[in-house]
Parts: sequence; C-alpha cells; structure tokens
Amino acid sequence: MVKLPQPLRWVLQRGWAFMACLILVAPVHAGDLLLVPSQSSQPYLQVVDHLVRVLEKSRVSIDIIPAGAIDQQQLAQHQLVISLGTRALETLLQLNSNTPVLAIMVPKDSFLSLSTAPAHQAARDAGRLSALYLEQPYWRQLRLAGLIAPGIERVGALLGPISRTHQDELHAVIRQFGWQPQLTAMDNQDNPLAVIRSLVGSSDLLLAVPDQADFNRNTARWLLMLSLREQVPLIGFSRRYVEAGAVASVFSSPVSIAAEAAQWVLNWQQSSDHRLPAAGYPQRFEISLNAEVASRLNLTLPPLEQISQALQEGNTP
Amino acid sequence: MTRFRPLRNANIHQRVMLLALIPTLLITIILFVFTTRERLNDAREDLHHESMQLLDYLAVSAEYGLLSGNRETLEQLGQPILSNPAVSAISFLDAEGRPLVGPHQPDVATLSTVNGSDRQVMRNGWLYHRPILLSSVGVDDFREREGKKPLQLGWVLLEINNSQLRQRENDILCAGALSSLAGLLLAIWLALVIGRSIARPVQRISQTIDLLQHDQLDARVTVKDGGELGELQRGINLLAAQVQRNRDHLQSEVVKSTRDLQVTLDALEVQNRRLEQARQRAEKANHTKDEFLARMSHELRTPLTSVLGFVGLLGKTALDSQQQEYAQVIQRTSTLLLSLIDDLLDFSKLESDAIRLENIEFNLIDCIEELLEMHLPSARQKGINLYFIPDPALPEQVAGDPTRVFQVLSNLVANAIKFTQDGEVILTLKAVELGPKSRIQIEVRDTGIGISKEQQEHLFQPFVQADTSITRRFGGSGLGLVITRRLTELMGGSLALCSTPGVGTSVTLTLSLDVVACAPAAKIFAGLSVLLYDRRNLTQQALKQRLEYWGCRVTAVRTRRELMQALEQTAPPFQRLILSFSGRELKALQRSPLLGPARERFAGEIILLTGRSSQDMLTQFTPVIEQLQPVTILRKPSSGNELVKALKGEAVLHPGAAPARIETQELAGLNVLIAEDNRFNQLLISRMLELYGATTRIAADGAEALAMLQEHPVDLVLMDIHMPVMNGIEASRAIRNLPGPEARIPIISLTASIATPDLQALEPLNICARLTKPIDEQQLIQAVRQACLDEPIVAAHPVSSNQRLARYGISDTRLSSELQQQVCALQTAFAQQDSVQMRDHSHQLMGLAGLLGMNELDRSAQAFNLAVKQSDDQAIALHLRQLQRLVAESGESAGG
Repeated sequence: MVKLPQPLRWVLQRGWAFMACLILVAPVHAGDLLLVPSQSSQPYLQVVDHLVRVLEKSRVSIDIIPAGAIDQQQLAQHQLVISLGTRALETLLQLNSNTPVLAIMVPKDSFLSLSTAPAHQAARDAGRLSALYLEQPYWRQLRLAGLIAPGIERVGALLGPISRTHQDELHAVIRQFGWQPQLTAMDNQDNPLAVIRSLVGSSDLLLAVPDQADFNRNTARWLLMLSLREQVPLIGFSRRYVEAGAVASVFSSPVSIAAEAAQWVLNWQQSSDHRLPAAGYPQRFEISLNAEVASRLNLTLPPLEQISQALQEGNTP
Repeated sequence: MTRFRPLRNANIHQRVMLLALIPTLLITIILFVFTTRERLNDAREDLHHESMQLLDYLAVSAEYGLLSGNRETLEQLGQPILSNPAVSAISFLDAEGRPLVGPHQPDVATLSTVNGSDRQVMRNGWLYHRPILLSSVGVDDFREREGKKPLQLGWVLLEINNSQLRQRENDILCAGALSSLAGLLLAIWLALVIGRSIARPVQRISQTIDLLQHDQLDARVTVKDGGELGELQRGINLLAAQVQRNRDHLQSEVVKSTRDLQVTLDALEVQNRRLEQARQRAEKANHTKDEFLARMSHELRTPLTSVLGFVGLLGKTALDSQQQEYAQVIQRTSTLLLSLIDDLLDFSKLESDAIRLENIEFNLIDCIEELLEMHLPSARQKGINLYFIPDPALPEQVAGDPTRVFQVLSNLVANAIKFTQDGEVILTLKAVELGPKSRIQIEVRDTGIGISKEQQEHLFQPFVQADTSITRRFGGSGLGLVITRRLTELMGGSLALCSTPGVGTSVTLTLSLDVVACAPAAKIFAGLSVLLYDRRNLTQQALKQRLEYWGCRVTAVRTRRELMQALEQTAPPFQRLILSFSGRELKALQRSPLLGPARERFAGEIILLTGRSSQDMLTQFTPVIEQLQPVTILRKPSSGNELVKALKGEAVLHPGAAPARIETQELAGLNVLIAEDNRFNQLLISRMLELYGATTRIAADGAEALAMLQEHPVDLVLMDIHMPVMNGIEASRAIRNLPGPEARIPIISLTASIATPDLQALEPLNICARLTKPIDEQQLIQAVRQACLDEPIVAAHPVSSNQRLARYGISDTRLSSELQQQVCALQTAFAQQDSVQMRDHSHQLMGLAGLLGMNELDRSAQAFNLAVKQSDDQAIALHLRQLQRLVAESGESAGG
C-alpha cells in the first residue's frame, strides 16, 4: 500500500478535473480500491476525502478515476470499485466488468432501475454489486416526526413522478405509526399552489418525500411557505431543507456516508468470500433542527442528543 | 521647417495666450464630450438598471398573483411602481400570453422566454419585459445535475417613458456646457494673467533695448521679475552699463585723440606754412627759370630770325655764285640752329610739364597735306618719293591738338627724309577703330638706313642718337624723337618703331581722337572718272587712294596695253588721264610711240607726273610734252594741293606759257599811309602793299597820321579804327574836316570787329572800304586798286585761313615775339594797376589777333578789354592768364 503524498491529497480536496488529468497521464498501478466519482462538486469531494482519509489508516491503496475517464482495463486492475453518484454507477455498469462495485450516494430507485439487467441482478446476487442508498427510510423520518410533533393525527405527503410509486409503502408506514396518511400525487404541470394549499389544509404534519430534483425544488418553496403560513410542521430529508425552513430533517452527511462506505470496504476486505452485503439504507445519519421555525410553529423541540439517541435506539423499522 | 504663418507676426503675449488657450480649449472640449457622454450613458444605464430591478422585483412578486390568478394582487403590486413618473404602464400576462393586468397585448413570440429581462424600443421610451418563472428552493444536499428550466408562469411588462431621461440629458448637457464654459473662462483669465506676466517683462526689455538703440544708454530695465526673465533683465542692464562705460571711455579717448590731433594739426599747419613758403620760393625760382628760358630763347631766336631774314634778303640781291653759296650755308646753319633752339625749348617745357594740350576740331587729312607740302621741297631735293595713302573710312573732323599732331608727324617725316638717301617715304593713314573715339594709326615708313636693335634701345633717350656718326652725317640735337614720344604720350597715344638696318624703318603713331560729328563734306571730285597709269605698285596705290579719297572713280592700269584698252573701250570716256612715269620710263618714252596714240585716244586733260620739274621737262623732254599737249606737268612727289589744282585744271604750268608770277607791280607809284598802332601789323600791311609796288608810310596813331598827311601828301590812308591817342574814327573825321585837298583822300578802314557803333560813326565819313581783320591780301590789294584806280569793290569778307606771314618776309617767330611783348606789357600794366596801359595793350592784341585770324586770342583779348573797362580785377586776372596761355601756345606752335 502506498501512502498518498501530501500534494495529491491537496489536489484531491480541490479539483477532480485536474486530478483526473494527472491520473490519466500517470502510469496505472494495480490497486485495491478504485473510486469513481460522478462529478467534482463539494459533497463528492468531501466523501472522497473522508474515504481516503479513513482507508489510508487501513493501508488500502486507492486510485481515483472520474466516471468520464474510466475504462474496462482500469476496472480490471482493481479489486473493488466504489461508484459515487448515479452517473458513475451507470458508467460502471455499462462496462460489464467483473470487478465488484459498491454504489454509494445513489437513490434507491435509481440503483434498482439501473441494475434490473440479469447480469447485474446476478452480480447483486453474487455479492459483486451492492449499494448504500442516499436517502433515509420513511420510517426514520416518521419517527423523527413523532419525536418533534407528538400530537399529530394527519400526516400529509406530496408525491412526485418517482415517489408516487412508493405511495402504498408510505401509506402503510404512516399507518404503522397510527397516523392518517394524506398523500397527494402531483405532476410537473399542475399548479403547485393549488395542490399544496389543499394538502397543507388537510394535514397536521407534512413529510417531504425526495423525488426528482426539479420536483423537489419547485414544490419545496410552496411546501415551506404554506406549511409556515398554516402552522403545519414540515419534516425534510436533507440539511438544506432545514436551512430552507423545515423544522427538522434526518439525512446522511458526506462524512457518515464515507465512514459507512469505508466500513463496508474494510468488511469486504476482511471477509473471506469477498462478497458485498445486500444494498440498503444507511445506518449512520444526522439530524438537523430549525429552532426558529419550531418556535414560530409553537413547537417545543427536545434536545438534539435526545432525538438522536431515540432514533439510534430504534434504528430499525 | 516652415513656421506656422499666423504666429510669425504675433507678439509674445499673443503667443503665450495661444500656447495656454489652445491646449486648454482642446482639453475642455474633449473633457466636455467625454464626461457628458459618460454621464448620458450613465443616465441611460441607470434608467435601464432601475427598470430591470423593477422588473425583477415585479417578476418575483407577481409569482403568487399569477399562481393564484388573483388580478387584484397583481394590480396592487404595480400600484406603487406606477407612481414613478418614468413608468408609464405595467402589464402582466399569463403563460399563454393573455393579458391579466395592464394595457399591453404584445405578440408572445417577441417576448423573452429565458430567465432575464429584455426590452423593445418604443416611440417614447422602452418596453421592458421578462418572463415570470416559478421560483424554487434547493433542498437536495447532493445535487447531481442542474435541474430543468423552471416553469414559466407568465410575463411582466414595464413601459418606461423617456421624458424624464430627456430632461435629465438636457440637465447634463447644460451642466456640462456651463462647467466647460466656466473652465474655459478660467483658462482665458489664467492665460491672460500668465501671458501678461511673461509679456510685460519682455516688453520692458524690448523698450529698453529700443532706447539703447537710440543712443539713450542710461536706459535700464526695471527688474521686477525673478527667474530667467529677471536674469535677462539684469543681464541687459549690465550690458547697457558696460556699453555706456565703453562709450564714455571711447568719448574720452576721442576727446583726447582730438586734442592730440589738434596739436599735430597745428604742428602740421606750421610745417605746411613753411612748405608753402618753400613751394612759393620754388615756384618763384621755377618761374624765374621759365622766364629766363623764354627770355633766352627769345634772345637767341630774335637775332637768329633776323640773320635768317637778312640772309633771305641777301639771296634776293644780285650775288655772284660764291656769295650765293655762302648765303645758303648761312641760311642752312641758321635754320639748323633755330630748330636746335626750338627743340631745346620744347624739351625743357616737356620736362617741366609746361605743355598744355588743346582740344579743338581739325581736319587730319588737311593737317597731313599741309605737313607733306612743308616737307616736299626737302624730299624733292633728295630725290625721294613722298607718298601719302589716306584711308577713305577716316572721319573728316576730329578733336585734338592739331599743332602737336603736326609737330609729331612732321618730326617723324623729317627724320624719315633725313635718314633716307634713296627710295621713298610713305605716310599711311588708317582708322583702326571707328566710333565716337576713333583709334587712328599713322605709319611713316621709309627705305632709309634703318636702325639696329641695340640702337633702338637708346633711341628714345634724350641727347642720344642712334650713332654718334649720325650727328656728324645728319646733324640734329637728338631730341626730336624724345620730344615726339613725350608729346605722343601726352596725347594718350603710342609710338611703335620697327626697323631693319639697310632696309628701312617704320614708325607707327597710334592716337585716339574724338570724332566730331559733322555733315560729310561733299567729296571735291565726286564721280570724276580718272584713268591712272603707273607701273609701280606703291605709287599707283598711293595715288589711287588719294584720288578715291577725293571722290574720284579711279581705273588703274599698269601696262601700256591696258592703258590703250581702257582708253579705247571705256564709255563714257574718262574725264582725266594721269600718267605717272619714273625717270627710266621717261627716258624710254622718248623712243617709244606710247604717248602719241594715247593722246589720239584721249581728248581730255592729261596730267603728267614725273620726277622732274616742269622746267626740266620743258627743256629736256620737249618731244614728250609736245606729243601730249595739252598737258599739266606735276613734279613727283606732288602735294595734295598741287594735285587738286591739276585735277581742277587751274594753277598748272602749261608748257609754252610763261611761269605765273604772283607778285605784280600793279600798285606801283601809289603812296599809302598806314595808320596802325601795332608795330607788327604795321610791318605786315606795309609788306603786303610793297609786294605790289606801293610805297608806304607808317603812323602809330590817328594824331600822327593826321600830322604826316599834312606834311607828305599820300594817295590813300589805311586807317585802323582802334588806336591810342586818337582813334581811327576821330582821325578820319579830322581828315575829312581838313581845309585842303587832303580832305578827299580815300580812306580804307581796318577793324577787328564790325561793331554797330563804329559802323554808324563811319557812315558819314565817306570811307571807301571797310576791311576786317585778319587782312586778306587779295582783298586789300583789290580795295586799294578800287579806291585809287576806281575799280569795282569786291565785298569784303573775313578769311579764316591763316595768313602766310613768310610771304611778306615776316616770320612766325616775329609774330610770336610781338604777341609775347604785348602780353608782358599787359602783365606789367596789371601789376601797376594801370588800366589805360591795359586797355591799350589789350587793344593791340585784339588788332593782332584779328589781323591774323587768331579767333580764340581775339575773343580772349576782347574779354580782357571788357573786364578792364568794368574794373573787374578777378576777371582781368583770369583773362590775363588765358591770354598768357594762348600766346605761349602760339609761341610754341611757331617754334614747332
């Protein structure tokens, strides 16, 4: 295992494109682990950085090649590949390599839809293709909702083009918590104001469900605005949702994603059969609260440690 | 490099003004344009920016209204913005472009669909528009891709009018113009101030320099400035001070020098006075010397002339041959002595620059003819041919000193004759350059003994002759050529000598003489056709050119055959035939039948030219003469005058006729009383009359004449009008008033001038004839004959030609000494301020001059006389000097 020199680390932290160029021109070393990020935006850099930092301690040799520059030979020279993001996974899957692939930072629906091919299905079965989903399970969000707004009865959710496929699942989970689900599906062409206004009017708490990025963006404003106006708490699915005005969110941060993925790598290394575990939601998560919004909604928030602990304790559905 | 023309005449103030103003003006204009444009741009940009901001605000704010379809909300949204005067209207359109609020209904296709503003230009402003998009909030922590284009809800349109912008633009332009104007005025004021601050000191300097130039050296520049100008002003002041100091110093130097100079001048004056005294002493001494010379020459000449005269008289008396020979020897030696004395006199005058040249008109040919005539006898005596070849191109009248030209040429010709034993002397006249001042060359060539090169070197030295043997052989003082040369140089001419011993000598005199413009005198023989026979080239040429000069058409032949042919063939026949024979030819002619046939073929006048005298011809060559009858015989060399006469057919010696005798005894028996105060005139007139056989008595004035008349009866009285004691008029009146028969004596008056009062006075006195001086012999004789023998009177008229005194046995020297005496007497009288004596002697001079046709002397004597009458001392002195000069010159010419 070769320890990464300091300048390389510096570059890693700052620019993928530059890094990619360096790697392309450098002689290719056969290594243990290949990281294939989809893009070089800040969260990806953070995840790569944390991964490298954690795995360095375990003397795992790591190569990093951007998704746009990867080829089969490079894949074949590594024992394990970690794809970061949906695009990287899609690229790797198209290369049809036998190298085991661990997909991280990929939504569950995207992973499932990409790995429907029989070969991929086989790979999943053989433990050569697995994923650590980006989003949190609904039940974890609902448990958070229960912790923040204990007296609620009706839980509303706006479903987009993707999430409407989970309508039944969500419906069932809400029911499990003893609440009345108020689920409304909406198209991009619908007047969001009218849809959301009726949803907010019929709910005690709103659950933001991740969907397509555009859908998330276009509806978030009105969800936030109307929930505030109607004094209905909104549970988000990201740190930015809390910053935008949601009262609380449960999510995986880049650090926790990297830590969990590193754990998976180490486990895979140490395992005798070199099988990856089945794809699943992340075990590690963070909670973010907006005290200001909570006070506006007249909610009394328990301390963050308490919420975190309560969620960790019941970290199963 | 060419300077900017308008700046050339600008003063420094104007230049500084221009220097300051031009850049300022340019900068002001540039700044005005730049800042105004920037400000106008800014105003537009501001409006645009503001409009965009409003539009953005409206777009964001209208999202809810559009989503909710609430028009009221939208109207309320636009309300506060419409209060802005720049905003004319606000419109909201839905996603399909249908108007929800506001007046605009634009074509959707022209509206912007991207998330940004755009504008369209309208008549009075702009229409801003932008789409209203559904706003979104980013909630994904891991955004993998950019989302799609946000949902468009509609459009917001904002109409902005430009009235306010116009107003603002006007304000900006006004403010810019005003500030520029203010800046410009400030710049002009600054330029004026700065310009003045530069120009004033320069003007002060200039004025000071001007004053300094006008010699006001105490002028100074007032030093008010610092820097270079101050330095300059101080420098000029220093310079002026320096100049002033220098001038003062110079002035003091000049004063000092002037004082020194004055001292020197005083010393010089003293010295000059001494010199003047010395000069006066020298002049006096010179004068004494001149006087001595004149006196001595006179003293020498007087006895000599009397010797000559008496020898001449002796020659006319009956002498035996031995006595005749002695008389001739005396005459020859006396003449030689006289010429030696004259030469010495001339030389001494030349040496002391005492000779002054005349500048009068004269005929050069006449002068030469006269000269040749003078030398003919000596030439004939030696048997030498003397030829004259004139130049027909020569101007007729020239101005110069004829006496000196005559003297020079005479000397040359005399020398040529003297040193030629055999052969000829040729005088060739040639005009080298014709013009207002003609250069004339006169060559005297002889076939004499010649002069060697060595001898030529000493030739023009005084008292040196080519060979000492020459003096023995030929005589002479050795001064002739020296005098000739000096005189030539004095006349501005040159003398060139070319000689070969044994062959001959040629002396060429070149003179520049002023040509006197005069109507060409008719050629005396114009068109006369002459046939000339001469075997010898030279003589033929000389004769031919001489004849042609007189206007003859000459046909020259050289052989007898040609002569016969010319005589036979020429028609019309020749008017004259000239036959020129040498001695040998003449002898041959006696045997040849030439002359008879020639005479047969020519009926006109034949002129025979031979080396023999006519007497010889008649006696020795009678057959020849007889063959040619009628013939005119001329002896070679012949003078021009003789030739002219022969061509005219007069005064020739016709064979068979007695030789013409000029003197007659036609006045024999007449007793004539001559009343004349001047002794010279007394002598001259008496000689004239005596020549014709008359007896004369002489009275010195009217009173004496009256007395003599009463004592001795006479047949005629010649009465001079102007005489002392009793003048001619008074004397004539007294004669007419005599009681006896003397009262009817014929009187002939003699006057120098025909003055009207004299004529009037003479009118009642029964004067037979009035003769004017100079006296013409023929007129005198004719008048006397008319008066006594009752022959008709020929009108008296003045004769300008010089009288030949020699004819009356009176020498030129005598005349000159007489004139000299008169002038000396005048001088004495002037010194004694004796006006009576002065008038008397001037009168005598007038008489002499008139008698001899000396016009200039006459005029001068008259002027002197008038001055004496008017007691004008200055004029008397002036005319006396003039008279002295004229008499001295006449003396010289007589000597020459």
